[in-house]
Amino acid sequence: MASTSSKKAYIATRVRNYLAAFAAILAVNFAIPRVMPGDPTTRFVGPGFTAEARQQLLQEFGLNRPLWEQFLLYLTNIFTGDFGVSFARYPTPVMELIVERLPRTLYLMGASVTISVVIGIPLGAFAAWNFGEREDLITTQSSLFFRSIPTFWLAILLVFVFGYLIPIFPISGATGSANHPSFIAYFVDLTYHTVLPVVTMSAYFLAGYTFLMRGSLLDILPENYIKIAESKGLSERQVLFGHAVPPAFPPVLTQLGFQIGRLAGGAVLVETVFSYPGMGQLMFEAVLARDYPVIQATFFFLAIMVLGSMFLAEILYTIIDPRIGGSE
Amino acid sequence: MSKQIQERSADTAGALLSVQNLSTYYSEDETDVPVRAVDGVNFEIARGETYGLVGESGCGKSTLGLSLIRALPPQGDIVDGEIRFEGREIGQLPKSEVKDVQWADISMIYQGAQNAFNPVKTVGDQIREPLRVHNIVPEGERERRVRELLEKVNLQPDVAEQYPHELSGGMKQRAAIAMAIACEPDLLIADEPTTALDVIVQAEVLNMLQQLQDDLNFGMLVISHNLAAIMKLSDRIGVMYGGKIVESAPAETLYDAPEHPYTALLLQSLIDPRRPPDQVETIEGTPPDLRDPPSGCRFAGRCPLATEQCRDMEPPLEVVGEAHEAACFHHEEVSEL
Repeated sequence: MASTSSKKAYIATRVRNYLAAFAAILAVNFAIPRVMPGDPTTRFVGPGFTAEARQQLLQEFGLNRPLWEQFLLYLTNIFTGDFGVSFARYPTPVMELIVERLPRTLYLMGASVTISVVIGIPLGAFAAWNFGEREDLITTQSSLFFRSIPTFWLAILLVFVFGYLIPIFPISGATGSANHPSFIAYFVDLTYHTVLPVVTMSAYFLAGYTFLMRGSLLDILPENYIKIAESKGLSERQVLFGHAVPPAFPPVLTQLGFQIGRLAGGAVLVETVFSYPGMGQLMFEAVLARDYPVIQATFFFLAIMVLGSMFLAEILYTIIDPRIGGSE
Repeated sequence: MSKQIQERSADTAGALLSVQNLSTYYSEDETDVPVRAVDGVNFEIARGETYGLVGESGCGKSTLGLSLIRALPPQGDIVDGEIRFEGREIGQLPKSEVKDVQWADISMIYQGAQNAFNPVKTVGDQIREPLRVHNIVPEGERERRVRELLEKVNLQPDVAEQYPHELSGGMKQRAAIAMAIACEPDLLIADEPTTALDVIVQAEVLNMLQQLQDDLNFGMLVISHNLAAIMKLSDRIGVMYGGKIVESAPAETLYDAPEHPYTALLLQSLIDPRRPPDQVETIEGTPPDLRDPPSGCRFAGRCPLATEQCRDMEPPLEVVGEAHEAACFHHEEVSEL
């Protein structure tokens, strides 16, 4: 195939760009605590530390050495997964906190991405297919509602309705008990506890996908190849999902990449409102406590997640849409 | 098998396709004044015959084609008349009940082959699709059939693995033809098959359609505003104006002795490369508003022969010669135009 080599070139360009972005993240993450006003030493070493602990940490992070040596040490530490120890939870290593919290946040994000995509896209397709009809009107109006209400307000509303008026869902925590007989029991408990946070995080994006898919399809439905697909004797469902949705998908994929980025920010809010012990809550608490090593590590991981998801979206483009990467 | 039986009965019945008093209107909803895009049209096509439909943009010729294959947009409705295909009425049935006829028996080359193919699927997949939907060829042989079809339209069989954006305009048009004949239909509708192609490719496409018709013996409805293309392909030509067929005759008769003033003026507006463009004839005025067509002859407003009678009464389509019909009160004066 003629386009295979240009496709490789496209992917190679993306890999280069994302490596550059990754390098920039490393540099900024290194610089932030050091350019903040005041002595960087006090930022990295908690005020309540003993003299030995302070010396030991200064030694370990090389905070008394020249900047370039600090940078090399910083890189070594990152690539060995050593983010130092938390000030607020001294002497727990930051990595230990991340390992405990990250899967919970990933679960929250994964669930809300899945729900918003799996419901939002068919809903948008349904609205576009019934363009101008009552079905379309109801779908767009309700999507507009969920797209417009502030996330924190929806979160509080959900807590009030389902935690207080009709208390059927837990409003805080990740699980009900600390010990579970099996992974399945843990998963069920986790899912039950995350119903409200996941609904909160999904609503905005679900509505976004609905609008995006609807708009994208309205451009595509008048195309000849859709009329031809209809004339071939295919059913409406086959025409819609087999012929119209695939070429309408790339813009949705872009949104998906962005969503994961916005979700990282959303996680801070939602996890705080629902007292969900994930990365977002960890970051929020770290900021309040000026727990710099934790702030630095959570920023780093969230940035990597956003970068990774955007990269994945760009690679998936080339699979979904053969026109992309064909002419570079 | 049932197809063979139907073919035999159709042969005895004469026409492959018989359209009686067909009317297709467009309206957004019930309260909307409908656009009478096709208004009481009659014609027949026999197996192996080509019927050409000419007329200006917006005269309803494409709507007529879409009515026949039952792929009208949601606003379009067949409000009256019948479409008899191989003896079976398919015009008034719900769309879901004509799916077996679509593409397998009646297929279509759509206007604008440039986007006849889904950009995210290979050309081969899209040609193969009707074979699968109508289960025409056993699954294992479909791949080979697709390659044969591509060779039939002078394309490399490897085009099957390519995506539409990798093909030139002429290649896409040929691939669209291959897709249209995939199930060896009995009736092929070609809507503007040469529009937007350069002249060399136009000639190629016209020759190809003729060749395929000789091989496969399908009836063909060619829709175009390009008179030259229509003349080349058609046995019989219908001239459409304002949603109605105003004249119908064998191709040569129509060219040599038109009996409707619109046809005569249309022929005069043909550009002859030897004539300087400033002498090209045009038809003054604009086509009628099909939401509120004039009560008399729809061409009266633009017609040099129009009289009081034309504005009051609608002229019926009458026999004016051998196999020749025209809807004009003054058809005897047309030769003087």
